[in-house]
Parts: sequence; C-alpha cells; structure tokens
Amino acid sequence: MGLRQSDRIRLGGGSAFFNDRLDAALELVEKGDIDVLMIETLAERTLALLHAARRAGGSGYWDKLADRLQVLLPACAKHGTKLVTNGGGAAPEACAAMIARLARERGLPMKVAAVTGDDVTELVRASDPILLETGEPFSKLGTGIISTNAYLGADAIAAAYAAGADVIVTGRVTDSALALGPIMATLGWKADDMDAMACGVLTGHLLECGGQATGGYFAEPGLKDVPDVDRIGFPIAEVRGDRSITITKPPGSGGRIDRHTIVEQILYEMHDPAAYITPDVTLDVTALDLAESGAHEVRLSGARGHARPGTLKVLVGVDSGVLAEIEISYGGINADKRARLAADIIRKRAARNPMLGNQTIQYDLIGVNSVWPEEGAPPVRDVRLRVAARVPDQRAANELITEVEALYVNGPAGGGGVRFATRPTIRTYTAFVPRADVTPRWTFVDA
Amino acid sequence: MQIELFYLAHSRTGDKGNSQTMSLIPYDERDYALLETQVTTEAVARQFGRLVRGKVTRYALPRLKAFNFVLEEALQGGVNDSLNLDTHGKSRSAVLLAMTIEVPDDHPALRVKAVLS
Repeated sequence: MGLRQSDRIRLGGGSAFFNDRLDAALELVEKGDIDVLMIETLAERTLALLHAARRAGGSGYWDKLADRLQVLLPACAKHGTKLVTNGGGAAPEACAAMIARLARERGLPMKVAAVTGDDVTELVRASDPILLETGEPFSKLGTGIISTNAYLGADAIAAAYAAGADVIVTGRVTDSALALGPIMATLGWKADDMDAMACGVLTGHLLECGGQATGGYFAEPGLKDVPDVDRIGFPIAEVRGDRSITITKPPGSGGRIDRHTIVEQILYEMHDPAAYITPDVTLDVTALDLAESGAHEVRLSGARGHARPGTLKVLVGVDSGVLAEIEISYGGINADKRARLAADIIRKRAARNPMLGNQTIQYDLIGVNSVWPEEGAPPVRDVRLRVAARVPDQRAANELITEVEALYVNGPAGGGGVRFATRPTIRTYTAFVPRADVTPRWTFVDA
Repeated sequence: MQIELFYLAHSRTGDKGNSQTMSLIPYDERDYALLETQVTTEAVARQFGRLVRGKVTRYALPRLKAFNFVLEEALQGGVNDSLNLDTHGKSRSAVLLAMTIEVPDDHPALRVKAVLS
C-alpha cells in the first residue's frame, strides 16, 4: 500500500549524532504527534570507521542502533510514525534486515526499505577524479583507502516513502535529505520545483542537529537562559503545502524556541547564506521571513532555491595513523611554569627519539591556552599539560605516552593525574563526480 | 564606552574542512546597525590573530538581523589534521564575543554587563 498524500507533514529531529539522547527521541514519537522520526548518525569520519569495522568482520552499521530501535520501533508502530535514518552506515541492506528481524520478533508489521548507491568505490577508481584538498588525482592516494561514498540526495528516500516504507535505512545521504524525501512524497513536491526543495532542505537543516534548534548548545547563564535545559525537547517541523515551516517541540518538554535559537541553527555550518549547496537544491535563506508565532513556536517562509549542482560530493576516507593524547596536571603557585617546563622536557626528548623525532607534537596548557588565543593573563592555579601527536602507529604512540608518564618521577615538581588515550584516525578527501554516474536505489528488505 | 560583543550578541560556531563558520546575532535587533559598522572583516581578523591564517568573509542578513562569518585556514587543516584539543574549533565563538566595540554611554548592554560582572 502506498502513501496517501496530504497538505501537511510533521517531522521530528530525533538525533544529531550517533550517541544522542534516546529519551528525547522517544518523547518526540510519544508526544510530538509526528509523521516521521529522523535519526541522523553519520558524521564525516563515522562512515569511514564503519567501513573499517565492516572489513574487520563487523556489521558495518552502528551496532547500538539495535538497542535504540528496541525502544523506538514499538513506539513508532503504535503511533504510526515512520522512521528515516542514515544509520545503515557502510551496510544499509544488512542494517535494514536487522531492523526487519527486530520488527518481526516484536510482532510489528513494518515494511523496511534500504537505500543504496552511495558507495562509489568502483566509479571513483575508474574515473580517477581530482581531489579538492591535494589537487591531484584520486589514484595518487595509494594505499590506506577505507571508504568512498557519495552524498546522495532525497530522490530514493522519497520513492521508498511513497511506496509505503515504515522504516527507511540509508548509508551516506546529505543529512537534510532524510527530511526532504518524506516531505516530497507527502506533499507531492517535485525535484524541479526549486523553492519547494529549498523549503524541504531548510526543514532538514533545522532538524538534523536535534536539540540545537530548541535551546541546546545555546545557554549562556544570565544572558541566554534556557528553561528546563536538562530535558530539552527535540524539534518538530510542520511543513505545509504553502511552503511554510513551523518549528515547535513536544508539549511539556524543556528548551526554548524563538528567533534567537532558530537563527543560530539556520546559520550553523553555513557558508554563503544565499548558496547553501546540497545534492537536491542550492538553498538561499536571505529572503526568509521569520515570525515568533506562539510560545516556543517559530514560523518560517520564503526559502528560495537555486539550481542544484551537476555533480555529487564524494568523501574518501583514508587511514591516517594514530592520534595520541596524554595529559598531566600541575597545581598551585607557578603551576603554568612547571607545565611549560614539562613540555620542554618532552620536546627535547622527543627530538632525540627516532620514532618521534619527525612527528609534529602539540603542547597545550589546559586552563591557559588550549581553546583561547591569549596566554597566561590571569594567574592560574590548575593547569593541565596536554601533549598530542598524530603518529604512524600504536608503537610510536606508546613511545610518546611513556615519555609523558616518566614525568611522574623525572619531570618538574608535583605533576599528577596522567591520563592518555589513543585512537585510529581517518583523513577525508573530497572529490566530485557527475550526478548521472551515480544511481541511488531503494528496495524493501525482509528479515 | 567600550564593551565586549558578548553583552550585545550571541554566536554559534561550525566547521567545514579548514574553515570556521560563525554566526553573530544581536539580542536586540536595533543593534544590527552598530554591529554592521564595527564588526567588520578586518576587525574580526584582528580579533582572531594567529588563529586564522586565511580570508575572513562576512555575509550580512538584514532580514534575519544576523551576520554570518566564514574564517578560512582556521583549523590547522581541519578536523582531519588538527592536533587541537577542540578539533572543530567549536569554542571559538567565545573568541569573537570577547571583541570590544564602541557603544553610546547610555546603551542598555552596559547595564547588562554591570549586573553580570
């Protein structure tokens, strides 16, 4: 059974990243009266990490998604809410099968669809595009390539939604497409109607960061207070056929919606506000009308669309060694001078160490200059030296850790609290491929 | 009187590659013109000093009563390469808001500052 078109659709922004709050997503489904729950999980490097995990024998999707869906799926089934997520990561079909199994086990009659086509490894190998960052062809990257994924638009999601999918699982798509697809299918909007696409993309842009639209990442005590900031309600967008968007949040939830929270989020990660490029349309927010239409309610209209690019952006993930971070604390009078002396000791010893001598090592004094450009203006009594380097492998990382640990007994007086962490890192490169060469597909997936 | 932007406007920072994006939104729409005159690309570049090596661009949004800044070459090559504690530079909106501007002696923001500090 396909979808019945309507003159309005309500979507909830249920996740801004893979570990976002589950209680707020559930509240959207239970109290938000939403048609669609959008679950965004893929930051730039997250997908490459999932590809690497898949190659190492893992599922290729984010395993914790199953735990979350145990909670969200029954609620979605009960309230007739569709779920759209890019949580399929490197394996959308396997993830969709997992979700279909989960639904069957719980006796939920849900049709699960997978969107594929974002993995463009073969295409990029064959066409060898120039990389934005290096100005050189892809083939020059050599070894260590982990993933090659295009940012797909909303078309396959819209088609799956129109065909009656209850859950749609994608890999890499542009975040806003998770909202635009259901909007297109519900309101009957077509890809060549650029102002309509712009309205849908703006909706997705406002929802994709969850609580950032409703008072999250906003509070400034005394100046920009947020009511009940410990239980911020995630955003709901009601999109109507007249191309208006009304942003609200679940009744009774905490948080704040007004001109200030919404404008901060509209401009978030935007370069030219007249040309926010997505695979579906180039969004222009310069002529937006914004009205505070009620308590914690903002109405937007006037999103304009310009022609979408003829190419799709591709992100290439490449193994980039190990990031090592080690910290040690110094306190009291002269704390910053002892921390600087400790840094100097590491600097000199690393220069003599064959595994570290050629590496760039950064030294920060947390509490003095780690996130602030000016150094040491106020007297500080609580300083943490941070030593960070990206090194080729774990062995080199261990060398650096050992050097900082040895400060316990060989460094300046009174150092304590050494902690360290290492993690594999991935460098991403950008390429562009002709849109016509990429074929987004969707299919229903059985358990 | 000189006062920090912090008391007149708010800001959110994002990152794209090696660039930072930064909004600047006055608490009171009437301060838009004041910001337009004084929070120029040159002033912002000066405020960030060595943190920003590339171009600073300002987009004015008179309808939304807001500004959007793009600061290029600001993140040690970007999240991929940065060794910074705050890899994304998300805390940098605080650097912008610490910039001082000139306001009339009876500007309400001066009272806000007196109350908060």
